[in-house]
Amino acid sequence: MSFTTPYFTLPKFVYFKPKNIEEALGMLKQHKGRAKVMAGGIMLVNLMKERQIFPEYVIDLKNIDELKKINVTENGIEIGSMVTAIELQNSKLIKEKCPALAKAASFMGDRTLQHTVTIGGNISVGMPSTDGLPALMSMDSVLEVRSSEGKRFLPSSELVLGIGRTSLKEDEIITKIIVPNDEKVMGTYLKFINASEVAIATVAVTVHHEKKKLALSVGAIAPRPYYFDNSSLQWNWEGSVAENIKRASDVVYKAVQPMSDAVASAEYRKEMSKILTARALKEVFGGA
Amino acid sequence: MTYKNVGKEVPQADSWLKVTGTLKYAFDINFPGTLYAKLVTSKLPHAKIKSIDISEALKVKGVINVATGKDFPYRLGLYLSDRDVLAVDKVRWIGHPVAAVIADSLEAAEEAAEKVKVEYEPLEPVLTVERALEKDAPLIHEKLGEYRVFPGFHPVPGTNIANVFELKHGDVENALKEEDTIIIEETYRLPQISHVTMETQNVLAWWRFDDYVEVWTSIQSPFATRYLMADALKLPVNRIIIHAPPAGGGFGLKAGLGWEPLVALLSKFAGRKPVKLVLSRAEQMTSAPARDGFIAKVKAGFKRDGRFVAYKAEFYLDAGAYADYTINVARTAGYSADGAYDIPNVHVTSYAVYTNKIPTTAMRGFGHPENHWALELTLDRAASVLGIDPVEIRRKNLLKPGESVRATGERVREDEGDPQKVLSVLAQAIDLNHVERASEPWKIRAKGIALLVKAPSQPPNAGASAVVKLNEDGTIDVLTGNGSMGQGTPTSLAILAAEAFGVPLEKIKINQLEMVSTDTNPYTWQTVGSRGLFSDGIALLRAIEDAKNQIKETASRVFKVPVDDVEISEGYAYSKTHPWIRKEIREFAMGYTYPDGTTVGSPVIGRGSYAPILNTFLDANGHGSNTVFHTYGGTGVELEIDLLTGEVKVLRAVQVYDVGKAIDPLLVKGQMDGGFIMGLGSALFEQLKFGEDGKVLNPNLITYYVPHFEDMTASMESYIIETPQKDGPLGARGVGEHVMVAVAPAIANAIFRATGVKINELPITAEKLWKAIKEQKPELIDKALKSFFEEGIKEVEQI
Ligand SMILES: Cc1cc2nc3c(=O)[nH]c(=O)nc-3n(C[C@H](O)[C@H](O)[C@H](O)COP(=O)(O)OP(=O)(O)OC[C@H]3O[C@@H](n4cnc5c(N)ncnc54)[C@H](O)[C@@H]3O)c2cc1C
Repeated sequence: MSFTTPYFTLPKFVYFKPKNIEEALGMLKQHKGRAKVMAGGIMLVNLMKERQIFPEYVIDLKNIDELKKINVTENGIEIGSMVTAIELQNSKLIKEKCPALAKAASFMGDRTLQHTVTIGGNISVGMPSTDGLPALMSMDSVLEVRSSEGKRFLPSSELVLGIGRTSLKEDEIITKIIVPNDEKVMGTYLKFINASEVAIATVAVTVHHEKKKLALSVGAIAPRPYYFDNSSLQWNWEGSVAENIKRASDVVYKAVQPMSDAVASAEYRKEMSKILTARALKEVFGGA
Repeated sequence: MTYKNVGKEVPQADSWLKVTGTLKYAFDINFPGTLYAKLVTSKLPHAKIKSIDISEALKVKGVINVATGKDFPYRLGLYLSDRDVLAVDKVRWIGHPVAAVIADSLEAAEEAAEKVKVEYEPLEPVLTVERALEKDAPLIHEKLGEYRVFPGFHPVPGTNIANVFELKHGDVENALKEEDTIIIEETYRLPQISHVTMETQNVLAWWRFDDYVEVWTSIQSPFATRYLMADALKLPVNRIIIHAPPAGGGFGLKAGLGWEPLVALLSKFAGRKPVKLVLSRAEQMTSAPARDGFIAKVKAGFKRDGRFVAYKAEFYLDAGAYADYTINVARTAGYSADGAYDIPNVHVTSYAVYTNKIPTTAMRGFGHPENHWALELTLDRAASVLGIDPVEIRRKNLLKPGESVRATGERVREDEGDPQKVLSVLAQAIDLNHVERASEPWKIRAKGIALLVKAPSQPPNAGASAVVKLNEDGTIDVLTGNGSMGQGTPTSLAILAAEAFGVPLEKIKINQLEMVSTDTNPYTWQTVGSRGLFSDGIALLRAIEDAKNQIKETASRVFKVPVDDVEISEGYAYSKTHPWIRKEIREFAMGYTYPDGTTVGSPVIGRGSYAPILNTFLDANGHGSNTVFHTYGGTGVELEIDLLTGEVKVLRAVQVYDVGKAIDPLLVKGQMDGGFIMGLGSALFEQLKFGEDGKVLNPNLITYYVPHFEDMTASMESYIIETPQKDGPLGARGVGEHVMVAVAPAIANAIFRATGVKINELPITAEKLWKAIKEQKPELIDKALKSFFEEGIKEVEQI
């Protein structure tokens, strides 16, 4: 994300608006390498305006209703990739079962953008500061990825490879996000920004009390979010919460190797990862 | 004195249109057949232009023409003609416009702009003030000696110094040497910042077939723009017609001369078709000017009892590639460096220095955010060393109206305002020594203050004029040259007019709904320096006097009473001695007509004008009399520092200003609140970041961060003091810019007072403060971490 070029207009492209997934996948196959799918379009249009990408074909997914649904199935909670940030925040189910995601969605750009931003588009951007991915990772979610050849399941932690790079092939799209349907889920998402809209550090936490399972993801500090679970955090379910939080923050602090950029230095990001980890865990366990 | 209109809280005249989104800005004005311009800009900070190939660009469908610097051999500038229209021979910063494409669509213009090929021969870039001042530094303006310079300025040809100004008062060296003088020595810095007007600069120009040049543009000062454009293009002044609709923010960016000459020339170049140029945010923040960067090297001397006895300072303004307007910012920072204080020995040298970075220009505060950052921090550093309260050290040294003399030798007028009262009201409202406990044990509560004084910085002859016309039905049209950019002066002027005429405010219309055109509106020098209400207001009151005299003249004939027996009030002219003899003023609007048709008098049109009295340029020691009024004020803040993150959250902001007379207190408060928010942005967030090659890295509002609603954590309190300015309109003086100046120093002073941590450079971002605390007071962070992980988390278990 650079936003440094002076343009108002877009390079020329051909626009498609398919009615179902199959049609979309067919177009992607036909124009492989020269087409891009458009979800909310917030990032796509900007990348085009910035002259960073020049797709000859833009395949808009907005007419595909089956991508806009949130369903509960035997696989778990299935969130369509075209569900918007506002819908995630307003859904009772998501708030109850995926609290980290509901909260992360409230940070995806401003309120106006959130009506347009989709969860699929958000995570496919592959930017370090993307809000959706740490939340999805803390929930141990799996992505359903489809192409005209078929479908595969990809752990959300394996989506992003580097800055702006994902493991999706040119003819693949994310169709769903599948989250385990657990009872008594707690979680939160904290985003630390200062003097820039781009996050310095983010932390997502999801805790399943009954399953004695805790996962935490630290985003924005490196090209890919970091993932920790109760065992790597040395979480002791019998021990004092304060001790646990302290130990977990130390583990995170020691494990992360942040990047330095125009937003923040590595040193500061490291320290903030610790503070944010403690704050997030405190919020979850204290109910604050 | 009781007033009918003055002193009431009246919303701005154009608010209804603003909130309905129907106010027309320059941006909204379009003609059928208008062509679009797009800039091609330099990718190198400093380079010779070897060749420009426009052939591929011309092939793009819809492209009319492509202009380069050679096509427009004119020099531009207000105080120093150091600007070219498009780069000629060499480029001076990354973003320097090299060529401009004109096309029948924006798409074509942008496509073609990418196809203009420029071949450069790189020159060594000069990216810091330090490097620019070295003897062997490459010259950025080889022809500095040939530029036209406004009187009172001193560029140094053969160097990168665009201007040097010196202020000498008393004997600084001696005072600093005295044994009992305690010295405070510091270096302070400010970054380049952007004005961030909501409406970017945009110009629609049409070079007509009759050789009149019409321009619609988003600016503050239509008359200065017209004159400077005529001067540069060597056209008679009245061949240029500037239309200035309300501007979506100005803040100094839109003073002086902007893109108007370029777009006008492009119109001519395109066969005299109207051409429009709209800057994108990225262009605004890379190709258009910003505010200077600033370095102050300060040595200040105090006596044990707190007396401020010596102030020696060197100011270096990083002016970037063009210093046209910034040389006056540097001069102003220099001559007003002593702020609100009576310092017997002062020596300030202020340089404007060229570098190969984004050019700079005027910005709200005009040298005062710079010199007060140095001065007001120094006072608190001294207070701490001397063990004196920040309020007391200021009280001791404040200028005394009617007694003191500034370092420029200018006497402080008796009616200048009441600095002691400003300080007392501020001190009482903020209550520095009563600091509550922070909301968490790992946070620190802090309070701080800063004062300021500022006068308009303008040429000695900066005049103003006004016209009032009485209509058939008794409504009144007021015309001034005051540009409207959200500051509200036109509304205040309308209130003044209603008051002076004795009619309800609804009867007044001002400036054709705030659109100023140089063909129809009377002259004012510029809408800058917080001079609008004062200068245009005086001219307006004189115009109203003139109009009233015309009415009285006619009425005296009709009433058959002497002229001086006629009075005007509440929309009537009447005889003072025979008050039952009266008629509505509308009956005199076009002269008075008797039932048989006989008419006495003629249409009423009043004119009034104003120019400062006995102002001069400053001499070689910086001495002279160059101000018309001063406004004193101050800011107090209460804030919380999160020691874990370095974040600063302002909880309370107190602003106190002696405005002489608040013509519209709502607008004064609006300025105070807006000024605080702008000051907060520059204090905590804002900074243009430069890459190693001088390129602006954050020309967007994602990574160049201005305050958002969620940053508005402070409750804002404003206190208006009214010590009348005898020659001001109904006692008023200006307050537009002032209100942002003391915010950043107050915040830095609060942080220093509470933690002992010195931050000498803005912005105070969380990371910068965290690092400063870690370096200067690591024990504070250790303690905070301890309490956070011990007490802070213990609470969790109790829940
Ligand atoms: C002003 C601004 C502020 C922003 N602020 C934030 C922020 O605070 N937090 C944040 O996380 N992000 C932010 N972003 C980045 C980004 O725009 C958002 O993350 C947004 O979620 C993108 O979603 P979208 O639906 O608009 O995606 P699009 O722009 O439509 O798509 C983004 C990319 O993903 C691809 N894509 C879209 N859907 C799919 C799919 N189903 N399968 C495979 N590939 C797909 C597209 O081809 C494209 O390359 C911001 C962007 C802007 C312009």
